[in-house]
Amino acid sequence: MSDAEHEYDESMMMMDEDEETALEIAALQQDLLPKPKKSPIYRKEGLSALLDEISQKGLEWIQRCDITSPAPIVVTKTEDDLERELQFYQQGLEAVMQARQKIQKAGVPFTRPDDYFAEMVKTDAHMAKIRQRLLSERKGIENAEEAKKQRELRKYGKKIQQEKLKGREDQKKAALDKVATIKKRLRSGDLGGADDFEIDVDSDDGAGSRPGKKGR
Amino acid sequence: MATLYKTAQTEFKDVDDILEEREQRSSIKQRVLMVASRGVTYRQRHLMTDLEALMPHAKKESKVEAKQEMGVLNELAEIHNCNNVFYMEARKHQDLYLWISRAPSGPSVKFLVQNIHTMDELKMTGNCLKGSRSVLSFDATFDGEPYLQLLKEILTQTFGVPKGARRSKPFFDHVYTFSVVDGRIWFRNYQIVEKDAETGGDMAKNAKPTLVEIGPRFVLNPIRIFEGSFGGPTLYENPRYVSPNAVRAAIRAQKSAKYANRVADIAEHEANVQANPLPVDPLKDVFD
Repeated sequence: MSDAEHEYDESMMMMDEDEETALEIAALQQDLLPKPKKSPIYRKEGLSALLDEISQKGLEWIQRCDITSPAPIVVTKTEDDLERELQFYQQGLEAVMQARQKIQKAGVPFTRPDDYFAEMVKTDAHMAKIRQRLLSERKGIENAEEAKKQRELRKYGKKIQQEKLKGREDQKKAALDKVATIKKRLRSGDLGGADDFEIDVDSDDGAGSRPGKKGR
Repeated sequence: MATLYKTAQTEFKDVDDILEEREQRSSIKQRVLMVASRGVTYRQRHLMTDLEALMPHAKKESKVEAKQEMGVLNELAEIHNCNNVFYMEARKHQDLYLWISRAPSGPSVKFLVQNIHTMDELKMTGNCLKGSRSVLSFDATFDGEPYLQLLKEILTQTFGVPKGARRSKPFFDHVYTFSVVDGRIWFRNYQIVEKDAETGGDMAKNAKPTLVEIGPRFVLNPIRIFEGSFGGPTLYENPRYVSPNAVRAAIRAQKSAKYANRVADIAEHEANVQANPLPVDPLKDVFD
């Protein structure tokens, strides 16, 4: 396999793992896996003796730099990635806080100064690829947001337009109706002893009750 | 020997004392020999390269033949003056077993490595100095059981970069976390970022740093702990360990069970049909 292929499609890998895990869980539930041993070997005294033998007594802490967390980690569901990774993160963070104090007390430099340039574990080209991916991801999200907003605006704009058109039509219709009513009244107006000013044709419309109009 | 004598003369020390001092200093130096067996996949090979980049006190060796070479590994370690060995054994071009052993006579552990994600994956955005020392963070669960205490000691001595190792850098750039979840050891590698998140400038003193994952990440499932290096009597056997072969066999058994059930159902149906024939219809020939 050429080295150019080490950027595997992560989603593909995750799918394989998920499939595997699902099948494993199903097999476990079906009770098909061999049962755990009844009496596994566990020689505690031998282990403790060996531990005493290989532990580096008398070695200063600064040579080892190991921190043990005060409380054991508790993860309720192993499959819950977020919770699990959060616990690991917390554990690491607490350890760093403690270690920083101890290391600085031992007089060893902890923080890397800004002008210290040396070979890094990931090459600059690789970091550029990571940055590119982050940028394109962010741009993708932004574009999706823009498109959604435009769609909403268009819908809203369309609604406003329709309402306006409808309003205009209604007004037109109302005006025509009024004219029709006035004409009818005129034809039968003298018989009915209608009010000369014809104020009550349209009580809320100011146009019909202009004093100059005498029924034309 | 001449220098010994001279130092003894000038510093008024006993020769024995000087030898003891030299021994103590050299016992601090941990050197790890990294070897892989033949038949590693590309992902496992990249994992090994990543670990080699992170551990400046490690020396990588060429591939060895799987079955024969386990006894030879101790000799290889002695040749290269390494007191720890990391041996990655690949089986069936699929499963990766990791042996960590103290070379001359010390204990050895065999793990099954699962869920491997190498540093190449673009979701892990952190970076650190090549060969910088790291903080090792262990879960409190490690202090609960004797076998976990031993594992903790072995992991510290193997993964921890000794002070003043030849290719190491002076600052503390990253932190390894080892946690015990579900009976397995989960490994994560984070970069310590001490810059302010928004401004990018230096943080206030005693403010909390942020951690960004660098990778690689993997899960170690302990199988056995042996008293000797690559052999010897077993001190601990993990009762919850199921070999990947057994898991695959169980999955296949499940699939074959489906087919077997179907065949059985068809046979049952046929027998049923034979046993209960349809009653004769008196009006069958009416429209012929």
